Amino acid sequence: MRQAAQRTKKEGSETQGKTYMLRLFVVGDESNSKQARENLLKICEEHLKGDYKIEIVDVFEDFEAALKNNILLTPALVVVSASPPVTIFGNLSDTEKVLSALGLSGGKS
Amino acid sequence: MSSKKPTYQELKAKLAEAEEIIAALRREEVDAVVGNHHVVLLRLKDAEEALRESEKRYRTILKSIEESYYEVDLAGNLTFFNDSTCSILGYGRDELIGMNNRTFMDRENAKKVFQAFSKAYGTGKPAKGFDWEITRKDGTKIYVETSVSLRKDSKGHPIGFRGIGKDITERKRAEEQLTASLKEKELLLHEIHHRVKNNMQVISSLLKLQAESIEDEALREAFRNSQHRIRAMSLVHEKLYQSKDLVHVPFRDYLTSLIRYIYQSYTPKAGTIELVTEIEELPLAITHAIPCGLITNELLSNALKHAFPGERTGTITLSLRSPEPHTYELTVSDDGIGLPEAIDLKTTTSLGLHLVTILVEDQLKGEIMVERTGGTTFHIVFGVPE
Repeated sequence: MRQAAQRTKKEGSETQGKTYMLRLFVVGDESNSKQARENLLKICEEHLKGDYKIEIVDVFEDFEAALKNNILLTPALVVVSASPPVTIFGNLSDTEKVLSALGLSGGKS
Repeated sequence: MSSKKPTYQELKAKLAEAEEIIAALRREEVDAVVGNHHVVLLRLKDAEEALRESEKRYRTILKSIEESYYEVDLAGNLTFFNDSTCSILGYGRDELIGMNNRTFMDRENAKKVFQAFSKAYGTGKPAKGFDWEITRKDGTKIYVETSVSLRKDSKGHPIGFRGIGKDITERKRAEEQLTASLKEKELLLHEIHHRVKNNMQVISSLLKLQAESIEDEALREAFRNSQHRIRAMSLVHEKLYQSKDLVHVPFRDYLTSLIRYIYQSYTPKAGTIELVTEIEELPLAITHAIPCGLITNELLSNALKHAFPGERTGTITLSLRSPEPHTYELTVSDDGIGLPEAIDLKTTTSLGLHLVTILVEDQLKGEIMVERTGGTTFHIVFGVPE
């Protein structure tokens, strides 16, 4: 775990300000998971100008990935590219919060 | 997961994450919990909706029922109740909330409530069917039939009581009226039996007086017989008004008194005729008691008069028993000279025996049998209603 964190940290420091690496953990088509997907895409389109990579993990299909990333609840968004990686839980309806996790808080909106 | 001691920074991050998780759960933005081995789906929205639905249903039930639903704390202060509670007690919702149950009942009823609450508290079982007199806000008194059960919190600690109350004032009033009118009727019935008995005794005495002035032996005997028959009937009324039960004659007591009276009026020579009675304690309605008394009067009188002529001695046995439920058997038996062969119960011209047959068949709807071995035995078997 620590190793993985260190690696992402390294990658993060390299790619900081460039490509956002995002990993969204969802479960099936449950309502909050669906909302989280939609909200994330919307935020990325509006604020990240194509400079992002989203990996969506359905914990029903890839359970191990959730364990590896220490995910206890879904939906959960891990900003892999941040240093250290930031995790936020919920359906991402709070845009401000997502932006702050991406390091884009404040007057940007 | 790491065997190393976490740093302050790591702990701070973990705490922040935990807070995040709690916040997300509070916002109901969570679909599933990921455990070490499986994923548990959380349908908070659906569950919430189902809960709201069921709550709504209960609220509707509480609103629509005529009965009062109440919840009190351990001290008896109202904490929750439905609209019917307000209308039954006559107080507004605002006045009632937090009000102690002693406010709307007198000391005696408050004691009853306290006892019921204590019982529910002690046993943990609901206490049902208590009638309490409650004073409404406007001062009118009503009766409420209430149930009480213990209310517990999620850990099982008692936190108060709950129950249902029903206004039974009308029923209670009707019951009281019924009891009063029943008592009045009993009194009347008692009075009637007393008067009937007195009137019959007057008739009996008149017959006796009249008989005394009659020279003709046979005629005097007829008067005496009539006097005895009336006495047999008046005794039923006497026993009835003396007993608490105005419907059933204490028959053993009655027969014993009747037998003593008949025996004394014929005054057999001392030691000549022995009387043996075996009477079971059986209840008998007046409709059966009177014919039974008259039959006993006739058969016993006959035996005393005719079975032991001259110096002949013997025994008369009288018994009443119930060989099977709702069937009684009256037996009058003597070891005297026996009924003359010429006498047939169906065709006899003797008023006494004719009367016995009529009483058995028409009044008791029973049967009579005569045994003529070693004296005379009359068996009378009849049914009594349940």
